Amino acid sequence: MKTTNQNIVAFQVALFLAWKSIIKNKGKVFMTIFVISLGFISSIIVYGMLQDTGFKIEQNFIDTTFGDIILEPFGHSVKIENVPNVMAKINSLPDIEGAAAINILPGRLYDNGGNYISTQILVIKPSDFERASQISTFLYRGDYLTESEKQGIFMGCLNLKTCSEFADSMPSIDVEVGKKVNVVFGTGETAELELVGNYKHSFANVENINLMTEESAKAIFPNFDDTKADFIIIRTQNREIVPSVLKELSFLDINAKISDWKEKLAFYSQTVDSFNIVGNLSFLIGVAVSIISVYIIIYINALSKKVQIGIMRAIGIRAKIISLSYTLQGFFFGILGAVFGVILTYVMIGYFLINPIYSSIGNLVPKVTAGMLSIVAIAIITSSTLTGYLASRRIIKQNILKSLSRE
Amino acid sequence: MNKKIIKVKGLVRTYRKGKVKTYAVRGVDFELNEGDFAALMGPSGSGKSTILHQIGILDKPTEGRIIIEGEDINNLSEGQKTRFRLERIGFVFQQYELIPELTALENVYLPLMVNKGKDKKTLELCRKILIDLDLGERMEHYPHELSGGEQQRVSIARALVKNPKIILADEPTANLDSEAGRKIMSILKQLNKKYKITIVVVNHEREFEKYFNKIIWIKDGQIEKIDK
Repeated sequence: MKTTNQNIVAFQVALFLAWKSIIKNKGKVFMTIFVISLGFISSIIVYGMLQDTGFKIEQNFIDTTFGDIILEPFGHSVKIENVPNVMAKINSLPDIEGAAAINILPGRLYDNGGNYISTQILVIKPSDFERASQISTFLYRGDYLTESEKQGIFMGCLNLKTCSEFADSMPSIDVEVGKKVNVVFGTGETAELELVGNYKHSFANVENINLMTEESAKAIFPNFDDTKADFIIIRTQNREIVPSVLKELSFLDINAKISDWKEKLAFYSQTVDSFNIVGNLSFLIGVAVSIISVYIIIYINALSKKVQIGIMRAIGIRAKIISLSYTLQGFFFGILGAVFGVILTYVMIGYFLINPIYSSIGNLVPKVTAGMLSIVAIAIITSSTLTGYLASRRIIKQNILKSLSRE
Repeated sequence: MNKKIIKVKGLVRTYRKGKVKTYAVRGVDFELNEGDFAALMGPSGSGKSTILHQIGILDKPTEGRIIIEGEDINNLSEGQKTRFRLERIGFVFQQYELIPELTALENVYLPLMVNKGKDKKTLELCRKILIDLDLGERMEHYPHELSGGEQQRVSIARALVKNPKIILADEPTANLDSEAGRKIMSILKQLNKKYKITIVVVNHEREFEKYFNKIIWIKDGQIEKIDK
């Protein structure tokens, strides 16, 4: 009982001393907290920016190429069968924005000047594809395909010298919108299609898709079967619900392999992973730098109180009370530093939302999760609390007269 | 017969700087009675403050024993030494050594707070002592807002509030003008008389010799003579 009372008294006195120290040194306290919060931001912002870079790269492919979910024939099948039925099942789900069945026709596209590209043409229903992919929103010249289009092609700018950023280094054909593109399909059939429009994206990697309608395919290939598809892409309301949609799809008895975007983006994931590695590294370095900064600031702050600690020991204040007082101060600095850090982080995110960093993959805004904020906050609070304790312990261990000396 | 409150036996304190050993105190023996108002006098660097620091358990002697109220303080653990300083010894320092972040009242209150926690009665006692020392109007001021003499009086109040048996004062008048110095010395004398507190003052000003009932003259770390 006596020990409990002593501990309560020790805590009261330590809290009193800590509080007095804080309110009597407002300027120093503010600077300490400000520096801690800057350390907090430096840990988070670069990491958040790299996270968003990876996120945007993936999102560009999802938006234009793979969708959030992709259905493919099982290994033993060549095509997905009974497509209208499958599409009806998919569209019955509430979280689906759109789905599009796609057939791939490999071939070569020629211009009149002898340039050609070996590529694929995706055969689609324009209205379905418009809901499942955002390519049509990146229209550069001409028009998107109409449902009844029978002789048209819609191409990505990377394949067209007239609008490609890489016309000199990447194979492309020189065709203006409204002019003819000669196509030799892999099966030997030929066709002359009109370039009805093209699309341009700031991220050139997703500019290489060529589209034609099922009506055009039927006109060229009399046996074209629109009840079969090479794959079906699905767009969900957002990435986060993909796992639940995958689960729902698994109950619909669809005879196809169902994958999410992550599997299809495995190749690009290496690039994204590199960003993540750099991001994590920058995060770790940032946290380490913050911890060291916090340590130095609080340590110097405690060392500057050497004489004061000496006085307290000389008049008989227990070492436990003194170190608890500095531990509490460190904790206070850590808490306020973390709170200001979070506030400043959100202020910076707000700034970037208004003034994002423009890049080819999109407008970059730091992507910060509550988890990351918590990790940094815990690291900073722990290190500042521990530093307060360690610094005061070091001074307490000194000879009292040495602590009292002003040298 | 007067009760011996402080016994210093064969006290030696040496300091080492590299291989060089310097003697600050070279075997000092003396005793003080309860209620003595004693001075350690001598030139600068003679070892007076070192002796006072050993009595106050602020430092460890290299050799010798110090017995206070029958207790050999060298045998105490660190925790017991802290408690001893808190409960039985009051300190008055040359540079006042007040905590700058606390008001005069809080500086005086702190040692009691450590013992008893926050308590209105003890706070009142602190106020009374400050008023007695003519600091009634200054108790909410911080040390930097007080004159040297006022700070030293706060320091005396802080020592006194614990109701100690012994007050150790290390050149309490050295940083004060002569009038403030005289005031401090007469306060210490009054406390000695009124409460029978044993007071040991390190002093080098001959002007104050008249206040003491015992003067221990120190030279080169040794007792030169003891005047009673």
